[in-house]
Amino acid sequence: MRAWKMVLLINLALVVGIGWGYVFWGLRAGRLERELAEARAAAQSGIERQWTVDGVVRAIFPELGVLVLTHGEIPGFMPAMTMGFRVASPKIQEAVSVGDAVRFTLQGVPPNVAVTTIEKIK
Amino acid sequence: MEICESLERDLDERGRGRAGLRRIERTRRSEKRVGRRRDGPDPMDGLVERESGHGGAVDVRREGCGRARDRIVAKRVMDRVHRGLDAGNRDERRQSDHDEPARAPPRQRSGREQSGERDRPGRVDPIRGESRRGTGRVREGGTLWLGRKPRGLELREIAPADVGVSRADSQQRSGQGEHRHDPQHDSHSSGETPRTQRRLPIRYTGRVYAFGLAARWLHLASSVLLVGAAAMIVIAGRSDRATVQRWEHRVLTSARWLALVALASAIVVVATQTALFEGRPSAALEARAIAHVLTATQAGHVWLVRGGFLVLLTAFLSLRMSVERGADWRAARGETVLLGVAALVPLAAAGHAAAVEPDTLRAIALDAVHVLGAGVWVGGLLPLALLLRAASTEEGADARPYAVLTVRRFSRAALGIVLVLAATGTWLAITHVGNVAGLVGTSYGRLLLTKLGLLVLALSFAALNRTVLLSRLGGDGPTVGRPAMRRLAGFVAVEAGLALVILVVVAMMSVTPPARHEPPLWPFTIRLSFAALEGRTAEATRALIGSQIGVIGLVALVTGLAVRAWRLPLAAVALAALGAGAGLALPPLSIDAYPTTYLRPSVPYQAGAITAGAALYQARCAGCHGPRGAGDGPDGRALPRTPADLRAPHTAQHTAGDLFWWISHGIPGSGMPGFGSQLTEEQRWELINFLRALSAGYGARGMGPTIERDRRWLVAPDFAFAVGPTPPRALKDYRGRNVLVVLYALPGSRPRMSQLAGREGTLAVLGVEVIAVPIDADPNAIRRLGPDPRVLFPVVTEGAETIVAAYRLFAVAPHVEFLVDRQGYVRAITRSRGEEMDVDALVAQVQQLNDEKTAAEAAPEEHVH
Repeated sequence: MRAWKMVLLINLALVVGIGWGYVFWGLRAGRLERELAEARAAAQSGIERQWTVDGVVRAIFPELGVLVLTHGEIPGFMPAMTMGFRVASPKIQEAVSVGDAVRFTLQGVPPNVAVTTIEKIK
Repeated sequence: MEICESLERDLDERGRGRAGLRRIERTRRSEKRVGRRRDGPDPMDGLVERESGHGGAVDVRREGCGRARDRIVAKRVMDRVHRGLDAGNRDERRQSDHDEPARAPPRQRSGREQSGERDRPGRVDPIRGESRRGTGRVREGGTLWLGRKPRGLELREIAPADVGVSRADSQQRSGQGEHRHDPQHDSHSSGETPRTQRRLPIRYTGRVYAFGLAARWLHLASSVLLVGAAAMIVIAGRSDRATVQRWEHRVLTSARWLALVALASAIVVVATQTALFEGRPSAALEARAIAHVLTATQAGHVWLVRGGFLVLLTAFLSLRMSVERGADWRAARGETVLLGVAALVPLAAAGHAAAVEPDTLRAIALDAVHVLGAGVWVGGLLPLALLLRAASTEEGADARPYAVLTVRRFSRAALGIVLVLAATGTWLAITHVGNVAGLVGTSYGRLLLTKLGLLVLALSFAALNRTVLLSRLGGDGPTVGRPAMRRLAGFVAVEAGLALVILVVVAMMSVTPPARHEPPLWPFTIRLSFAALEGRTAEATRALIGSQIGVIGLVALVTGLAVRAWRLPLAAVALAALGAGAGLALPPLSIDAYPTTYLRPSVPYQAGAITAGAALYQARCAGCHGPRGAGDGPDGRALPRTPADLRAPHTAQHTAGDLFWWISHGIPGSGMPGFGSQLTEEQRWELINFLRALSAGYGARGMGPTIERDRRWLVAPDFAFAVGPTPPRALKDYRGRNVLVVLYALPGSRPRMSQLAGREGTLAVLGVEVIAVPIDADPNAIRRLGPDPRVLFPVVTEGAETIVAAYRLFAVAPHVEFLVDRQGYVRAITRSRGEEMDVDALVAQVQQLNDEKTAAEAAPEEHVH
């Protein structure tokens, strides 16, 4: 076989090999990405979830049934922030006052969650 | 880079036991690989971290290697500097940390965090707080201290805008994961697991070092010679002269051996690398460990690819092919070059260039060009010498014209290559070294200087060859040019030898952390700075005149190079003028310098450090320098020199490193004592942070409620705070938003607080976050504010004391509002008694801030400088 043909063959093999490797890798990356997206969706989808979070009572709106809390991170739902939450029963609002450090339970199908229990900490 | 990879690896290992997690880990890796930044919320993050119970390594991964190494190495060198000074001291301090419960963390942490912290002795690696410029906001979190003691509360927070990464998750990382990955900590810790301890050696040490270095050099030299040999044959071209064909055959045979040597040495390099990653020499002989390094790290992938090409090249060179015809010859030799280059160039992706941030790809590309150029130039020299030698002998006479032609071609090519090498080399040097201090003050910089010195030597040989010997090669007679050719062969061989020595330096550089990540030790007693001229007109004039004379000298020099006839007198004039100019201009520019002059503070500019520094100041310095730093302390009167007024804005002439030196060693003859034996390194930096805040605060007296357009100078010291039991956050998390830091006191401030509470919505829309800090640091501040009005912005219940102490250096009033801009500078200070004020005026100021164009690099330095 002529040398240039051999070289051509080698290079062709190289290009095909690298190209195949790249495509394979790319496809796999794509598949993994999809899997990840699914896993994320599964984590967020309409299953009822429950969290126990620490926070501070910042404001109470008895007429709306809303409690404004500065809270820590709610994993998989929201980062730490100040946020108004619906309360499951008016008793919860009555149990606390502004400035109380509390541990509360949040329950529901995101984003429809409500404070179901609350207790003062410290 | 490589260190990073090792850390990453460890995480992978940890995840291995849990099959369920592995998939997720892998998925995340692949996600990273496909280059998608995690911008959006990632609920898996929190879950995975929680389940596995060790975060951290992910962080290191994101952080980029330069930083990881930075942390690791920087302090090590600092320790080297101060070992003599305060080796005993540090232990003392550690002891005292345990003894003083008063300095305990300001708030209780959850049980797990505590257990993670408990075993750690007091010293927190302050380098952790380093600026992470260019790595994006997620990574911008630093170590922040609440209160006096760093170990009390250490957090790595995330910008509010980046809601994706969970806070608790990040906190866990900081609380547990991160410091585990910090070898410095491991070295201090007694209670750490063996797993972390064996990750300690991060540098080549002892035998492994020598072995690894030799292997690296051998590998580098053989790879480079391989490319050079292949390229040289192509540059020389095909010939049917017997001598030339013999030479070609010889070069090709040696190329095959070189490929084998490169392959073998590559295996040794990877093995030592593995020993390094694993932190134990025996790992170098474990096939499993090596396989893991090869498959799990980027450097490993690079070595795999290169190894593959080397095998292919060896096989190709072993093939017997007929190259009688031109096309065949070109194809075969071209393929050799191609495979050689393919084997050499990926080296760039496994070296320091791969750890450059942010322009990683550009750095790798430039490094690749640099390596390739070096390969063709350095590697081509030896085959060229062989050819000249062969052609200069009696029986090789038939090859002489060919050799002369080849030399000319190579000479032309080499000129271009050297220019390319200089350009890429300069860029890489700037990237890796950065400044003069790094060049002369770090081992990497000094290696680079050595390399440059050798390079100049090699280049002067090259210039000699090119200008003198090359021109003597011509002539037709049987003996004409032959001695010249022999001499040229010798000189080229010497040049090649020098190049191989340069490769030794290169190999050493490749295992030395780049200067940018090491604290430089300034070796001279003076430094040059324009700051020296400030306010000294006579000296400025002198420097100006001197510089002009110097310019005349330069012009004379250039003219001398261009005009052949006047060369000697012009050179004399140039030399005289340059000397005179330097003698005139340089003395006024010089400032006293110390080894620590260019040291970057290891403690970031944060409220906690400032407050700690203030306490130290009152205890140690106030006696002479005065309680307010005016230099009017009662003990200072008897001193030979009046103590310095520390508020004065003369600090431009002094770097933080200068102050560090003076505090450590005192100022001879002035009465200023050295505190090196009394204060730890960290305490001295804290003191310097306080001095900076003091001086800045003195300058801030004139700052009022209206902003000065585009004038940012007062850096807002970072601080950590918490609202109730929620995870702590930092001022720096708000980078990119304007922040109104309100120091308030009830009941006086109630009207203003109500007003701000009512307008919070407006302010939020304008990009203003309000952080209210009770001056009395009442932990029940929120309760005291009460239900009406509804204050919903963060009211600091933990950390207020520190914030107030630091910010009171800038303004003292019953109610103070600091308007901090998007880059973290205080732009306006409103002092009042807390009465209602015009919110629209504030809105107008904010509007102005929002209209300003923010420069990309405008984020303030987190360290005193």
